[in-house]
Amino acid sequence: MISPFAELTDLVISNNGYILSSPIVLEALESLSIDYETMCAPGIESLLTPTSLPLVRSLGAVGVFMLEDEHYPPERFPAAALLPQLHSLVVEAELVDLALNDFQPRWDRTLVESTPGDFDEFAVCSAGAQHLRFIKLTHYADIELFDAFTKLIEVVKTQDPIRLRSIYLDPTLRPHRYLDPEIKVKVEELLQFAEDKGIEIVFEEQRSGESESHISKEFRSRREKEVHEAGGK
Amino acid sequence: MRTTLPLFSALPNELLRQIVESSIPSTFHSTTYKQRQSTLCSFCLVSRRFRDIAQPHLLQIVWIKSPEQLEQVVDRLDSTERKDLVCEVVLRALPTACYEAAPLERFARHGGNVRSLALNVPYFEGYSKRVDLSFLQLLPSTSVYFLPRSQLSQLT
Repeated sequence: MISPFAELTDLVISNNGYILSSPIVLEALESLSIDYETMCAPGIESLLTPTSLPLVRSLGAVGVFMLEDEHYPPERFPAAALLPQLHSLVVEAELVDLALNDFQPRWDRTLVESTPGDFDEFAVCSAGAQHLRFIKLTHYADIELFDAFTKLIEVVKTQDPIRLRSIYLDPTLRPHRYLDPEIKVKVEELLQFAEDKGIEIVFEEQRSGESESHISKEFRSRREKEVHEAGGK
Repeated sequence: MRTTLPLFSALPNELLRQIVESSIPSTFHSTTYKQRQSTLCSFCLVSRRFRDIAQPHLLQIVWIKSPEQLEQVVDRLDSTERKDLVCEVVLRALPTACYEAAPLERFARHGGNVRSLALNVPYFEGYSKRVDLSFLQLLPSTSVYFLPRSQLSQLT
């Protein structure tokens, strides 16, 4: 029987309070944003498969910082089986370290999300990351922002060849007159060096609530367009 | 004193609908949700025509913050014939809240048009209870179902 109703296409699972007692299939689901601790929770592994999520094309997996040591997963990305079918993937920089082999063949479709100052931009870019997002830089003190931009500019300036294609920033960091003057200079410097190296700076509103998806709408739509132009593969 | 709005009475419903829909965000955001619902309530008080257009939007996005609210929403859906109005649901919990399986399952059975679902449930040992995601199977759609036994072995 055909259901007259729309079907669940977007699912966000934040925080850690879940189990899955019986395998299910979410046949229409296209986008899943899930905290890493939940990915490792009892039974959830059975959900992260092409059989259970046949139409998922966007996956956001972050929240590694929430994990206690004993919950740290094996070297494999828990949703590794889904990777071949994804058009866009958002992962936290820490995850790249944990399961580099899973991500390396898919840098073109992976947006690496990072907390400024908490990860090594050189290492991630050297590993081949093509798309970076700094999360809510506006929450940080100006001194940390300044340092983060200084490091990022250094990466853009010195890495040759550089595989970075885009950097996603919050719109509040546009170099307008309300921005802290020192930060504004840094953003302008980054814009200049990025342009010289053919790297696009994308300003996109970032999530501000815990219940909001980690998936970048802009990245997702660009990737969908690329996939479409490439013939849907 | 009752205010009359002759301008609005001359406008077709399609334009009134555009006025309402352009005044509110079309998707959930924690910072705008309260204002969205308040704007819709204000529209409902303008006139019967505005109410007919604005009222369905009140149920379009539902933000549930506690098990008690979940019960209220399910009761509300029980009493309405327009269960298909709910499109987007955000369900969150305080660290000590426990969402029991029964109301979640009741809710899922009513989730006739839910396209987007966001869950935010923390777990603290001894204080809260984990939510079993298998309630998603009960969403009224052909798309969610238990796997046949023959396929279960492939997943484990």
